[in-house]
Order: sequence, then structure tokens, then C-alpha cells
Amino acid sequence: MLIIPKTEGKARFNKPLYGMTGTYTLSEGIALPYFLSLVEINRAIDELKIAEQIPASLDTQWSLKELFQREIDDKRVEDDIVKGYLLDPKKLKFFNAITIVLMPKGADGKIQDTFDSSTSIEPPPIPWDGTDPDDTQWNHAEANVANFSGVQFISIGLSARLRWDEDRVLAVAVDGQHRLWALRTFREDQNFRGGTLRTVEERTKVPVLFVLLHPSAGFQNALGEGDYSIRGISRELFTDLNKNAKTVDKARELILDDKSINAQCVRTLLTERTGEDSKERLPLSLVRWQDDSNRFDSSYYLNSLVHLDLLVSATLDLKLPRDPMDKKQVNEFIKSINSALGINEQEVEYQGRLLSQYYSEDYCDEDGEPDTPFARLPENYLDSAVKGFQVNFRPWLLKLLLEFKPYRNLLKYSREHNLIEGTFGKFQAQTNKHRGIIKEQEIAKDSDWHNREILAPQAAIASMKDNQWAFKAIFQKAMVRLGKMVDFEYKGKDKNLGNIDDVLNFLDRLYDKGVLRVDAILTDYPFRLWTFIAINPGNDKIKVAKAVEDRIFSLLCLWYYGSRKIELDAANGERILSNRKLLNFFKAEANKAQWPSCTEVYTLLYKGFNTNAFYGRDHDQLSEDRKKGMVLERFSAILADGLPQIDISSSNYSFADEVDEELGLEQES
Amino acid sequence: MIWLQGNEAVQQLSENVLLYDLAQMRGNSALLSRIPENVGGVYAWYRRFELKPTAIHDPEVFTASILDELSKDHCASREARLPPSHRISLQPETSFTKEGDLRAFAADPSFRQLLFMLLDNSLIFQQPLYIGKASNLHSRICSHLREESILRERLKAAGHNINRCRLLLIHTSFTMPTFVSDGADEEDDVDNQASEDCELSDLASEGLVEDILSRLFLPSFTLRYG
Repeated sequence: MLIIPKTEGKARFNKPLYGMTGTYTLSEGIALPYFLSLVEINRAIDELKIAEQIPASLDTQWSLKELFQREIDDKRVEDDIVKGYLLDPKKLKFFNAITIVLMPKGADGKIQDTFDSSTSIEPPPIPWDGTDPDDTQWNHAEANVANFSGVQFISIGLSARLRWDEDRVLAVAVDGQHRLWALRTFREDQNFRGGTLRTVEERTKVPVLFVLLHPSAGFQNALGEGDYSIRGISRELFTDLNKNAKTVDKARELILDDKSINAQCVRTLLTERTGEDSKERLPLSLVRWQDDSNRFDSSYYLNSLVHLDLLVSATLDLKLPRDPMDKKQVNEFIKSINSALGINEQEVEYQGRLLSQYYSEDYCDEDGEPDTPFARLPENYLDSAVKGFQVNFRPWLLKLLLEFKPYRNLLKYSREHNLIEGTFGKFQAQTNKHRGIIKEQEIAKDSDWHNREILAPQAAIASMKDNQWAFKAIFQKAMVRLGKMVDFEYKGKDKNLGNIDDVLNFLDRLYDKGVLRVDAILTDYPFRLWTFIAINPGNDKIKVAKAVEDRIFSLLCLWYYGSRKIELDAANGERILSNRKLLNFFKAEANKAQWPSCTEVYTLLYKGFNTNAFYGRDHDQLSEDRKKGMVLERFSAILADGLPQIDISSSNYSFADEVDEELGLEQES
Repeated sequence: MIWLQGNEAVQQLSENVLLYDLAQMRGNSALLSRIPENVGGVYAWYRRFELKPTAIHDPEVFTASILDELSKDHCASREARLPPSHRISLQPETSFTKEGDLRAFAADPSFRQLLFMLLDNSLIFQQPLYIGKASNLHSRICSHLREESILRERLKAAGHNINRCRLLLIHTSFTMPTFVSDGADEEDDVDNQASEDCELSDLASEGLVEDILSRLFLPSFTLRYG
């Protein structure tokens, strides 16, 4: 997108800017003067530049990529900042200062290394315009006037005034270039405003901090090392500012953000404060909230805040519009909100007005075409959506996250040792620094305090997690997918799939049996049980990838379907299928009607085994039939490990013959 | 509650006949994950009556719910040329003159119970909303469920939600996936609603079956009966 700035009819020197001046003297031998001004929005757009506005021919010679390291991300500017923020009528708009370096430009348009003092330029008059009595005050005996290479900088004490010649100086953003470009796009792009700001918008003033790199403005650099050309300093400032301007980390955002549907839903799963226990929520004291990590497989954590956010996000599966002005995408988004968060399949609403109605009435014009971007769930509708989450998801989700046996054991131990409400929980809620101080204080009174109160329980919980899939984020996500299918998609009422209690009993049985250990072995087979599904055959390490999560989910599905089928068949006095026949049963397309996606689940797992690593060194000499036989043999043994033991003597069922016949309407793949 | 046809998300009525209750599933993928791929067959959409849960105890709510159902369009509107110089347009309209009787009988719990039971089991009395035949049922149902699909919109205009209907599938054949594309299904879908002559082709027999079924059973939201 090319935006031509409006430069017609401008004087060489721009109009004066007024503000305050100061100097950074935090490094010995270096004084870095700056000037802070409030710049009217139109002037900021017209007079301040981003790196990419420096003539393109400079690119190769001056390595702008190296200098500024970051290119403008047009998509971020248009979608996130302009459509998602500036054009959103309901948002408060605010951002902090943009940092600008004044850079000398040669007659050929190229950026110079230093302000050239060899050519003398007539300093502009003070006042800048004879009709401006206020500006006359700067023509004062106590004023420090610096005129250098097209820049005029005057200071009287803290007050200061700045002008520059736009032919000789470029005012380039080293921090805030995306915001600056977004303001320009907001005003100039024909798709949005097409050249004008509204009168009320024109009143906006943007804080701008100018860095002045000339001795006469107070710049000093006594260090001889490094690249202290204007470009070199700009590069350093740009890198430092962008590197240090860290966004709020995800965990804090989840705790603090009241406008995000995900954050609000996650918070309904947790106690409101540390040191608080509840039977119906995850105790925040046992949740990893202190950092951005999603892992909870070590130390004392029952879960992590970032992982809970990922779980909620995957479970809600909201289809955020890529383009908030695209009606079809927005309608899809609204549909996904209603489908996930509508109670009793009614739409999310606010004061009787449905979300879809609100969109068509407030975000679209009379012809039904969108005139305002719709990028997120409007705040008014958050309450209704969160209530929907509490009805549709929270009960079964909490059941899985609190009542699955390994989690139940962890909670039981924590309660028995008063870890949530007692000293342990209170200690873990401190900042790192405070933990250090408390530890020293307590050890001074009782040398064993830290070991006894903190380290011992921490180690005890860590040992409960040792090598258990239950505490691996990737497994929990797959487990929750199974719960969602049973209790959300089929409302816990499908007679084959049962409800969340059936899922929980099934998982507990697997856990008791040791099947959910990462290092579980498959008796009489060379590789461990989870190899080719979720762990690497070479080093037994867990592979973290979407494909692995899909395979874990598929295996859980197959085990669950198999267990349910055996139990239902036994209860109905029907014959029980052998493991191989069960595999064939779930492979059959026709059986999908009763067992959702069973064919896909089978195929995905089959593909996991169908690798050279599985077939071994002689893989190229094996026939396809032999390979198929090897896969089915292992596949069937794995399936058997997750199935319930049926007591033959107590019922009147019988096993089906071991003949490997096809069941149902099946197609060979 | 007496169930004449059962009340589950999916019922296998016979080896190749399945009845899906979409109201017992959430999301299109919940249904699609239960429809075999590459299976051809005949399908029919049926209306599902959902009276407000409080209606069983409250005569007022009961009456309002029944009147609400009665007022919904029972078929699609139709328009045709009447050569040489006219065009005719037909709009569905239901008149119900027994509102007074309904209000009086609604006071009787056993009457409410009876009507509830009959409407819950209404599949056996009903004219289908739509009948189709497809060489790939999965792909065809997927296109029906798509946002803004022709059938979804037509039903919506009449006050019916396709995601709350019942769907009957009768499998007739397995086909190789390469023989059928989504595009062909879409085209098929449109064909069924346009008045174009079909040439004899692989799809011609499907069109004919569809036409015969439409003629015989007059599905109320099919525009062309063949």
C-alpha cells in the first residue's frame, strides 16, 4: 500500500513545536538530549516518517534492514491497529510517546553520518511568523539557540522549541513506527477515511520524544568505541527500545484482562485468590501463574494458567474473523460464539438483543453492508457468553481437571498437608524476591523450615507426577477433547458414548492399570506402548506436535469406544468381539454412525505405525502384507491394553470367533 | 413419554438406515463425523417440534407454543410463468380456526400430554421437508449444513432451523471417493431446485429417483418435483 504524504505548499522549515527538554546522562561520558512535545495528529502524520519512507534507493546502500531491523507489518497495521483498535467505536484509544531521531539528509536524499557543519544555512527567523506574538518570546537573551544543518533548537531552562528543514532533515521513528503508520493509514487509506479526520479526532495530540544528536543541542559522546554515527546510534536506540518494550506476558493478561472472553472463562475455573481452597475450582495456589510457561509436569503445580487458556481456547474453538470488516467471516465468528456459548442453544444476548441482531443493527449500514469492524466479542455480551461457558463447559471440564485420579491424589495430598491455605501456598504466592527474604528469616529461626515446609511437599508432589501422561499438557488437551465430544457435542446423552462420568471412570481405570505412564511397556513387543503414538522410537522422548496430540486423542477414543462397546455388549448379552475384530469394527465406515469418526481415528493411528522405524532395518525387504500384519499385531496389542477385563463367569456372553472377518460395510484403504 | 421411533442422537433403524436427531448434537462436525464417507443413498429432512419445556405444565405457554408452530410456513413459496402473459406466485398460508377450542382443551393435562407425545413422535405422520439422493451423502449433507446454503436459508425463511431437524439416511452404495467431488454435489443440489432438463448421464438416474420420490411424497421445501 502506497500512501502519498500531503506536502504541497509547505515551507522548508516546519512550524515550531513547543515542549520540554531533558538529557539522559546515565552512561559516563554520554549526554543524550531529548525534546518532548505534544504534536497535533495531522502534523505527526505529515511530518514524522517511518524507516520505510526513507527513499528506497537508500535501502541497498544503507542496509535499512540492518539499521531498523523491523519492517512494517502491514497486516498488523491494518487488521490489528486500524480495524481492530482505531476504528473500533467502543474502545478507549491511547498510546504512549513515539520516539523520533532527527537524521541529516544530503542533497541526494541519502542519510548522512553526521550533521554537516561545512555548509552554512541561514537560520530561520524568530518569530517564525511575524503574526505570532507567542513565538516572539523565544527571541530572548537567555535562550540557548542551536542552529545545525537544518535544525533549529532553542531552550530556555526546561522549556524548548524545535523546527527542522524537511529538505535536509528526516524525523524518523525508532519506536512506535507501527502506531505512526497506522495513524497515517487511518487517515489516508481510501478503504477507511480517504484523507480526512473528523473534527473531534483532529483535536488529538500525540506525545513525541525527539532525540537530538548534535553537540550544540547538548549531545556528548566521549567514548571512542563502536559506531557512533547518527545511523549507528539510531540503530542502537531502535534495537534497545524494541527489545525492551516487552508486551504484557500471557499469564498476567489472563489474570488482569476483563475484556477477553478466554481470560474470563479461565478465571471461572480458578479460585479467586491464592491461599483459597474450593471443591469446585482449581486452587490458584496450585496453579502455575507466575510465568508464561504452559508446563505443569514438574514441581507442585496441578495446572498452569497459560495451559488452561490454551485448553479453553481449543475447547471454545471461536472462529475469530481474519478481516473484521468481512461480513461472512464475522457471521461465522458470531455463529461459533452462539454455538459454543449459547445456553440451550439460544443465542448469546444482552438485554434481550441477540448478538447477530446487534451486529446487523449496529455494525452494518442500511443495505446490510458492514461499516464498522467487528473483531472481538463486544463487552456487553461478555456476561452472557461467560454464563454460557459456565453451563456448557465448566462442569465437565472441572470434573476432568479435578477428579481424574492423579489430580484427585495431588489435591488430596495438598489438603492433607495444608498446602493450599497454609504456609506452603502463602509462600508460593510471594514474589521471587520476597520468597528469598522469607526463606532467610524462617531459616534463621528454624534451620529445617525450608526443607520441611516447602521442599519436601514440592518433592512429594513432583514424585506423584513422575512420568505420568496426566501431567503432560499435550495429553491433557487430548483428554479434554474426548470430554468435549462426549459431554458437549453429544450432550452426555448418547447411549454409546455415555457421559463425563463414564469418561472419568475409563481414565481412572487406565491410570490404575499403569497404561498412562509415559514409559509403559507393551509386553512381548520391542517398543514401549506409547512409541509411534507420542514418543520417539529412538530416544523415548515425547514429541510435541499437533499430529502427536491427534494420535493421543485417537488412541483415547479407540480405547474408550472399545471399552464402551465391550461393556454395552456384555450388558446386552451380545457377543464380545476379539481385539482384532474390534479393530476391524472401528475401521469400518458404516460404524461411524454409532462411533463418531472411528474410521479416521483408526487410520490416523495406523499411519503412526506405518514407518520405516517401526518395520526395522529390513523394511525394504518386507512385503506390504507382512508390514500390514506387523502393524495390526501391535495395534491390536495396544488396543487390548486399554480395554476392561470382563469376568466371563459372571455373565452369559461369549467371545466371538477369532476369524478375521470384516464387519460392517468396510472399504480397504 | 412413549417413543415410537426412539429418542437418541443416532438410531440404526435397519442395517443401512439411520436416523439422526440434530437437536441432540452440537455443531455441524458432530453430525458429519457420524456420516460415513463415500456412501451414496437417499436422504430426507424432517421437521422436529420443540415446544417450550414449561408448556407441559402451563396451558397458556402450551397454547402459545402450538400456535407458534402452526403459524410457521409449512412449505416453500413458489413462482412460475403462466404463458403467454402471466406469472403466478403462491405463498404458503395456514389458517387455524380452532384457537378457542385449543385454549379450552389446553387446560386438560392429558390433552397436553397427548399432543406432546404425538408431536415428539411426529416423524411417522410427516411430509418430509426435503428429499434428495446423492452419490456421496457425507458431502451432500455437508453442503446442506453450510452457512447460507440454499436449503438452510429456505428453511430459515420459514422459521425452521436445519440444525434442529431430524435426518434420515438410507445407504444404497459405497462409491470410490475419486468419482465424486464436492463441486458435483453442489451442482446437483442446485439442479434439484432448478427447472432444467437432465441429460442421460451417471447423475441422471439419481435425478430420476429424486424426481420420483419428490412426486410421490411432495417434500414441502423442494421447489421442483420433477
